[in-house]
Amino acid sequence: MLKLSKADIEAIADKSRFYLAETEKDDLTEFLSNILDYFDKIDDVDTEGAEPAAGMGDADSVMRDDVALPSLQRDAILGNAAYTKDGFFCVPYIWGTGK
Amino acid sequence: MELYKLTIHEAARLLDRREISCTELTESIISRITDVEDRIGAFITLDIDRALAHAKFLDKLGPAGYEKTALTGIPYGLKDNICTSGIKTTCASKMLENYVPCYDATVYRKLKAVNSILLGKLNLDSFAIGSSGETSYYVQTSNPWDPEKVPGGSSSGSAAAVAADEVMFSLGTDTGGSIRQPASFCGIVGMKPTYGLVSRYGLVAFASSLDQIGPLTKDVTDCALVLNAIAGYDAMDSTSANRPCPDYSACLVDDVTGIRLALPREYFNSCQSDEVRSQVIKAAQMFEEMGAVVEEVSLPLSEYSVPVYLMLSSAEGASNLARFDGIMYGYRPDGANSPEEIYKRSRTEGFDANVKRRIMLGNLALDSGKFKNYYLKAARLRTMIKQELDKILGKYDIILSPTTTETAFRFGVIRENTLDKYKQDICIVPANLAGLPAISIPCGFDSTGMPIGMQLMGKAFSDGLLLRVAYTFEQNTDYHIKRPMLHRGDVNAV
Repeated sequence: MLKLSKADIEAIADKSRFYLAETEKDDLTEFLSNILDYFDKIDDVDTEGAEPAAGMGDADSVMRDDVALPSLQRDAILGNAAYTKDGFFCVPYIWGTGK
Repeated sequence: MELYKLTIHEAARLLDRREISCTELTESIISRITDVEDRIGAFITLDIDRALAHAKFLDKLGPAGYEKTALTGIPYGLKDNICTSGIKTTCASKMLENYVPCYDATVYRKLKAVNSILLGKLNLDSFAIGSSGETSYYVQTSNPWDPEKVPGGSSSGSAAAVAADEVMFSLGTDTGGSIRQPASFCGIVGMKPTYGLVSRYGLVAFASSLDQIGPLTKDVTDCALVLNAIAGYDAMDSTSANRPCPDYSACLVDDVTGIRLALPREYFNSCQSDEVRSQVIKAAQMFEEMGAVVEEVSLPLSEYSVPVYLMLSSAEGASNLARFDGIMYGYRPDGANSPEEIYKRSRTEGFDANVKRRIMLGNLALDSGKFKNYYLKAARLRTMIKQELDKILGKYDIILSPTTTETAFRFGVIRENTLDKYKQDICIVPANLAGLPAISIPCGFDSTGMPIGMQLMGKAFSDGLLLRVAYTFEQNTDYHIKRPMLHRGDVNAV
């Protein structure tokens, strides 16, 4: 039996901010259920006592002095946005209606 | 002389003696690209005019006008997930089709500083998620050794371009083998340096605790030269290692006397190809004859490395790729009436099916109800896998294995929605999970003429020793000299 239902897939898709076609839902239900079956094999291993790894680098917590440094140019950053106005990014109204 | 065939160190010598000019070298490479790019499909963005102008500028300045290093005047390519100010960086996706970064990745800044000549941006699996090179939104890269076979991935264009002599070197990125596997499939050298050795600033992140930028080159000597140019501490990457780097070229010594090599039986037993297994064993025997100590070992946790990698890389990927929402950059559909609709339509239309699958898996692993059983368990197992590798590397200098369990396969044989493709990564993902350096070098050909790669993996920051052992093998074999037959001028083919 598959480990995930179509409703599970719809919930994860919503969290991932995707619209899914019905065929995609079927494909993902099967794919993710298979991955979870595959992942079951790690249940064989006793991992109690092992610290979860967060990263592999030397650095632990990196801080720098709180001083202003040169930043990127505003217009160059805005140049990659689809809609901008007066130096701001534009989105549709969040509350109410309008343009 | 066909200059495009040269290695970096050969070309640098000629440039140094002023026997050739930067322009002549760049023109030779451009002519090669014109001849073979239709067949290879390595580039997403090719900027020949810019490259030629750069070469002419250097020639006009003359050697007194700039600081000269081995990479000065050398034409190269960058994987298209490495940010280049003013040049599109697409990640081979529809999402970033028109994205032009306004800053340089540190590796690109460093290569600019030594006046290497950028030819263009190279193809990849979309967002560097994939292992066959088949998921690019733009172009299908072919394996230079057989046009019906994949180049490997995700650094597909980076590997194929070097193998086809379209660039003298390239940079790729390796999250779970994405430099080493295509290097192996294309018969070249590919190295994932120790985590933290090369800055990730300006790399479009897939899985930040696993990603590493590294060189793809024609031989080990070139690999050391490129690593010299890109390694080193960078304050812009909080995981950058703040420690001195050796001169990697000085590590190239033709001697493996007393070097201890471990051969994990689990890696060899996973081989789907007997030819791959026997050729790598033959290489190990050669090391033994040259004075190395070679012993079989066991890494019992190996079988868990692929599921652990899959879970953790997907979780980190889902988190990193959450930034693509259509507001500040990237694809944005017309006619969306709310921010929520912009987010959803941008992501639905801008990401391909393969990327969506991994984001979905990642968000499933991070789901509060499943976090403990999936993400946390995988993170604990990652620690155990690292400890197991560290223990073996306490007794041995290097873990030697095949890079891939088979040679390059045909297009379309792997169904993207199955698990098969992930299971082939057993030898390559442990280096990423444990942050270790690993290099793939050519060690033979199978009966169909496809290259076989051997992987050397070492302790953290033993990158120089890996290069030394790889160099010794290369000095005593000629696999790295052989090139695919792509054009009537190619006479080097096997």
